[in-house]
Amino acid sequence: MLLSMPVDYLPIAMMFVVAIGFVLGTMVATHYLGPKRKSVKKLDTFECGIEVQGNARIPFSIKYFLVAILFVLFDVEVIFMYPWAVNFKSLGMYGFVEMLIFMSILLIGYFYIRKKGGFKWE
Amino acid sequence: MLAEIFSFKKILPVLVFFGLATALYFNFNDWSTYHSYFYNMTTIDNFSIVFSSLLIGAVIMWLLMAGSYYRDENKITDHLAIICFALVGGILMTSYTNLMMLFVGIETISISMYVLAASDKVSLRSNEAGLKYFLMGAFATGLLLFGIALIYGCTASFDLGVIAGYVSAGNLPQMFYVGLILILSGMFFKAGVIPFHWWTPDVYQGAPTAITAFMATVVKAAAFASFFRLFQMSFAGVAGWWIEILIIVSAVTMIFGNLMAVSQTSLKRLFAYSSIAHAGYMLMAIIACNDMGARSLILYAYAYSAASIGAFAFLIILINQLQTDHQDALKGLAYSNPLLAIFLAVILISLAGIPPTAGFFAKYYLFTTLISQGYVGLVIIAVLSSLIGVYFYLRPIIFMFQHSNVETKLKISQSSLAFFALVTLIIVILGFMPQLIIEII
Amino acid sequence: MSVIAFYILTVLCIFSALMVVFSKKPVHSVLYTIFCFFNIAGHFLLLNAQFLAIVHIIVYAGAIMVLFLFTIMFLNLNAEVEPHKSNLLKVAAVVCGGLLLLILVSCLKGAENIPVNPMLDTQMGMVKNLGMVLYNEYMLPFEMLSILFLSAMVGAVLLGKKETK
Repeated sequence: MLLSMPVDYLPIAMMFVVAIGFVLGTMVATHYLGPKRKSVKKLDTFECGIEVQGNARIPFSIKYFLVAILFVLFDVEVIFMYPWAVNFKSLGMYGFVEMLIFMSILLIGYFYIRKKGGFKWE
Repeated sequence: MLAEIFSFKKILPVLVFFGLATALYFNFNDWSTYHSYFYNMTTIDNFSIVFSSLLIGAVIMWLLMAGSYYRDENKITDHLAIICFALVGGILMTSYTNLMMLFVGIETISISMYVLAASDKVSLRSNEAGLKYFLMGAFATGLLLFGIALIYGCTASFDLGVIAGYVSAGNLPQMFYVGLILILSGMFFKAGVIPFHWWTPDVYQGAPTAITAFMATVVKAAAFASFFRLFQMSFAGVAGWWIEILIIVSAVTMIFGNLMAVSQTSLKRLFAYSSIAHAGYMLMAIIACNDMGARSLILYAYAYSAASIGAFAFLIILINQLQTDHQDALKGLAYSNPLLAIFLAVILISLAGIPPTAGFFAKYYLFTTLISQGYVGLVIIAVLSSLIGVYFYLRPIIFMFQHSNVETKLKISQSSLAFFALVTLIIVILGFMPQLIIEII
Repeated sequence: MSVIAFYILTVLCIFSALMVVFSKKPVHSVLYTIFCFFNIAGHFLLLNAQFLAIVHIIVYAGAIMVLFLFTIMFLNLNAEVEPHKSNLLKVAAVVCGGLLLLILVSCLKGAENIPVNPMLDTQMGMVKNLGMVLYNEYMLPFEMLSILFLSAMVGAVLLGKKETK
C-alpha cells in the first residue's frame, strides 16, 4: 500500500508560501511603486460618482442564516460520504445499507424542511 | 428501541404514545440479559434498562401532561419530534460503553434542549434561556470533549472496559487526571451541580414550562445515569482521587441549592434551585460507587422524576390560567380546589422527603448506603440541608391553606385531575414499596 | 524538517488565535480565525491525518466561518454600546483562565513520559483506513449522528422560520 508521509505535502506548502508571498509582494510593491493621490472622493468605498448612502452594516434577514445553517448540515453529511465512497467496494452490502439508513434519515429531514417551507423565499 | 424515531411527521401524540409503549415493552424484553451491541458500543444491562425505562416512562408522563399545554396543533409535532430525538440521546447516555457514544448521546440531548428552551419565540425570557443554555452548554461540551481526548491520548481507546483496565494497571500519567477533571466538569455542567450550576435557574425559569419539566426529569436522570456509569465502569480504580472532589461538590451543592431556594418567591425558580439541591443528593449515590449506590440512584431518580413532573404539571395549569407563578397565587387553593391541593401537597412532601412518600425512602436508602460506607459527615450535611428543604417545600402548602381576598379558582379538567392522581399514586406506591425498584436489579 | 514546519505552524497558530481575541473589529477576528484553522489543518497534515485536515478546511474554515460572518452581520455593531465588564470580573476571569492554563501545562509537562503506543498505525489518518473504521467499528455512532443532524435541522427550522399566519 502506498504510504503517506507528511513530507509529501512539501510541494503544497511551497505553493502556499509562493502564493502568499506573491500576494504580499505585489501589495507591498504597488504601495511603494504607484503614485498616491488622497482625496475624499478617492477614499470613498465606491468610487463611482454616486454618494454613499447609509451604512453597510445593517442587520439583515434571518432567512439567509437559515439557509446557511442547513447548508452546513448537508455539507457535513456529504463529508461523511467521502470515506464511504473510497471504501465502497470493500464494505460491500453492509456499508451500502448503513449509508442507506443514514441518508434516509436525513432525507426525512430534507422533506420536513421542504414541507415547512424552509427553502421558500417568500 | 429506536422505533420511536421514525414516527416523525404529522404524528398524533397518540401514535407517539403507542410507539413509546412498544419501546418500553421491547426494553423489558431484554431483561436480565447482558448484551453488547455494535462492536461494544452499547451494552444493555439491568442498570441501563431500568434507567431507559425511567426515561421512556417519564416521556410518556410528559406526553400525558403536555397535552393540555399544547393547544396549538402546529407546534406540537415539531416539539414531539425533538423530544423523541432527545429521548434517543438519553437512552444512549444510559447504555453506552464507549465514550464516543456518550458524546453523541449528550450532544443529541443537549441540542434538542437548546432548541426547546428557546422555542417560545415571542418570549424574551425564553430566548435568553435558549441562548444562555446554548453558550454555556457548548463550552461544557468542549471541556468534556477535551477531557475525553486526553483520556484517549493516555489509553488509546474509547472503550470503558479498556480504560478501566488501564486504570487498574496503575502508574497513571498526569494527563489522565487532567482529562478526568475535564470530563468531571463537563458532567457537572450537564447535571447542573455547583460550580457549573449558574445556568439552571435562568434556563428553568425562562424555558416554556413543559420543557422545563422535561429538563428536570429526563435530562437530569440521563445525565446522572451516564455520570454513574462512566465513573463506576471506568474510573472506579482511582476512586479515592475523585471521590474527594465529589464529596465537596455534593455538600456545597446541597447547602447552596436549598439555601437559595428559601428566598425564592417564584415557584418555577424555586423548583430550579430545588433541582440543584436534588442533584447534590444524587451525586451522593455516585460517591457510593457500588451496586447499593446504583440502586439508591435509581430509586432517587424515580422518586424525583415522578414528583417533579407532577409539580411542573401543576405549574403549567397555574401559569396558563393565572399568568403567574408567584407563590401568593396559591393562597386559598385548599378551599377552592381541595383535591388538587391534596395531590400537590403529596408531591411537595415527597420532594421534601417526609414519610410515607417515595422521596423519603429514596433519601433514607441513599443515606444508609453512604453511612455503611463511612461517609457520616456528608450524610449529616445532607440531613441538615434537607431540613432547610422541608421549610421551603412546606411553605407553598401553608400558603394553600391560607385564606385570601382574591379567590383563585383553577379550572381543572377531569383528565388532568386523573393525571395528578396517577402521579400521587406512583409516589405513594414507591413510598410504601420501595423494594419494587430497589430489588429489581 | 517536520519539526521546523511544526514550530512555524504553531507560532502562526498561536499568533492568529491571540489576534482573534485582541483585534477590535469582529470581521478581522473572523479572518484571523480562518487563518488559525488553516494552521491547525497544517498540524493535522503533520500528524498524517489528511482527511481531517481537508474536512477542517472545508467545514470549519469554509462553512462554519460563513455562519460566524452571518452572525456578526446580524448584530448591529455600528453603535459602540458594548458593555464594559467590571474590573473584578476581569481579574476573576484572568485567575480562572490562568489556573486552567497552569493545570494543562503541568499535565502536558509529564506527557513525554507516556510511551507511544507501538500498535499505533501511522496510516490511520488516510481516508481509506478511516472509512473502514468508521463504517465498521463506529457504525452505531455514525447512525446516531444522523439523528443528531435531524434534531439540529428541525431545531433550525423551528427557530429560524417565521410563524406563518
